[in-house]
Amino acid sequence: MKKVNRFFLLAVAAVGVMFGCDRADPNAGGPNAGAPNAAKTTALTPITLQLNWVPEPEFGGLFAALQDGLYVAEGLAVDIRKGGAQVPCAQLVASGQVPFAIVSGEEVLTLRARGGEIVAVFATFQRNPTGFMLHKNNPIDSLEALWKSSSTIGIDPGMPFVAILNEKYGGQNLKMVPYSGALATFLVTPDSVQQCFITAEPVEAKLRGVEAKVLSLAEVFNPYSAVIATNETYLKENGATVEAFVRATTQGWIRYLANPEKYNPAIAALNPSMTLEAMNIAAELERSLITPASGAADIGQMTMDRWSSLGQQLVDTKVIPACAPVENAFLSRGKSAKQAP
Amino acid sequence: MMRVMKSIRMIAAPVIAVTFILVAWQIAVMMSGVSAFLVPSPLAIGQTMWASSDRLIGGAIQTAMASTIGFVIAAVIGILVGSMIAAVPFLRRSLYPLATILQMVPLVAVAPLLVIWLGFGLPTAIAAATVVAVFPVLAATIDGQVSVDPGLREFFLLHGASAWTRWRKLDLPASIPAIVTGLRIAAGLAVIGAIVGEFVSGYGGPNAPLGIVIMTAMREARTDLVFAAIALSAVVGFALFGAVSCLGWLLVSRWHASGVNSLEQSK
Repeated sequence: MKKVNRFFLLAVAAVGVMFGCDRADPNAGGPNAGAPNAAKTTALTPITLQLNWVPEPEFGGLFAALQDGLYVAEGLAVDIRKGGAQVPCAQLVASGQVPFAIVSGEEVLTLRARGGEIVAVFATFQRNPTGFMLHKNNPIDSLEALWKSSSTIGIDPGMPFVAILNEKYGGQNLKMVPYSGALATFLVTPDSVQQCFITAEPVEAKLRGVEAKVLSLAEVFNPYSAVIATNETYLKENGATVEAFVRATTQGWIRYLANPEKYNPAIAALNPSMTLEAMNIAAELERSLITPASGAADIGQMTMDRWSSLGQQLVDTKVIPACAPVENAFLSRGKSAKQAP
Repeated sequence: MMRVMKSIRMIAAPVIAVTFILVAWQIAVMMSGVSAFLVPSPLAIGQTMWASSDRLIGGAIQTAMASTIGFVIAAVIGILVGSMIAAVPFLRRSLYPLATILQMVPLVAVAPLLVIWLGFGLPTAIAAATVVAVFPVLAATIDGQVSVDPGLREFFLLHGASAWTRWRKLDLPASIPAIVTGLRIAAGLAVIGAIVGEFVSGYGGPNAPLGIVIMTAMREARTDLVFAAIALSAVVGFALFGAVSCLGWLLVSRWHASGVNSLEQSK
């Protein structure tokens, strides 16, 4: 009898847990937890945005739009998912697993060349924010000197700028190892070199007592970066939603860049590996990389020339065999989503 | 003649099964029109294997080296430590639970630490292969040696055999079938361990190991190359597994029931 009662109680508890889980707020555990309008999301259009990295100031505008209810004002319930080094964002969005994801410009063209129906709708960084970081005392002071040295460099395998730099400078003596995203090795190894986001790792290293210098890649490879992409089918079927999302995101970035200190505490709470102080410094550094020459109102915009030159560069360095027409690779602000590919 | 027919039947069965799967896969990809970056067809993978053979073979050699060295180290550690644990009840009580916990530690979490301790390149890949491959050998050795016939053990004791003699002439030979089973499991795991190690420590370039080839291909949206590299890593694992099986057959075929039975079945 006792056994029967225990089984009965266990079964009741299991059913209770299942129903409890069913009724839970789907955003409860995600980065959106605590967003002011989370309770009102039932009548809104749900959207998932997959980040390609952990929450950092490079995504500041997205979190500002979330925090200020800009997405909700556009009728959207946006769920921002944390990413990481191994999250295949471009493939996820091209296959329709998520409607939006953060990718790099070159990933858009590479995947399109392989048959993926991926479209860029918003480009966060107008200037490539990636580069290589070295200890301040390292005698290497240019990309050419670095590529002609025998340094060991932490790089994400498959990054297209490797082919570009190899063609330009050789690079036969370099030793490339996987980039872990962590600073531990860099901090303790004086001759260490690793790829970085100009606004992230060097700032964190400095705050931990190691002065780093950065060799920017933008001079030799300057794609749009932290690009928000969707897939063609989603864009065709949900053009108004995409436009609303882009509008709110643009406003979010304008607000974030005007006052990053207001929004960084919420981002820092989601990313314990980067201090609030580092985030505030990063936000200042990224302002000039994000804001176009034409002004803040044009944040996120893309041009045909930039996409064309990127496509040509990828073809020239044999990263892709041929570039699909770039006019279908991005949604320019003047072009309605209905006119999209 | 009967034996030849039997051999042909044994080879034909897996060949037919693999051919059927590949044909069904090819037809499914062609009929569904699924994009190549999601699921490439077997023909596309074959073409990629041919076109990228230099890169893949170079990578497979690197991975095979890391897997084999890691496997051999795991085998030696597993058999020696397992024998000690089996022989000393105190060690069995104190170390065996620790060894079990070691098996449950996720390798992907340990691999970045291995890079910090051992540096980039082959040493980390070897260590990762050893870490995952050691437990099956250890567990099999312990099980094999504690299961030795107690009558035979008493017989050795009655004749005043030393612990070394008992291990050399009774415990180790009697546990070989169990150890071979553990080694077979470890062979496959060693390849997985080496590739995980390469994910965090492998050098890029023309002779990059398969782990780096897989990561590079993922970044380049070359799913065909990912599949090709996975197929080659399976070949490496299969070769190691085959070598262990041959070794096991040589060691037990003349005297142990499993070997004798398989010999008689093949007659």
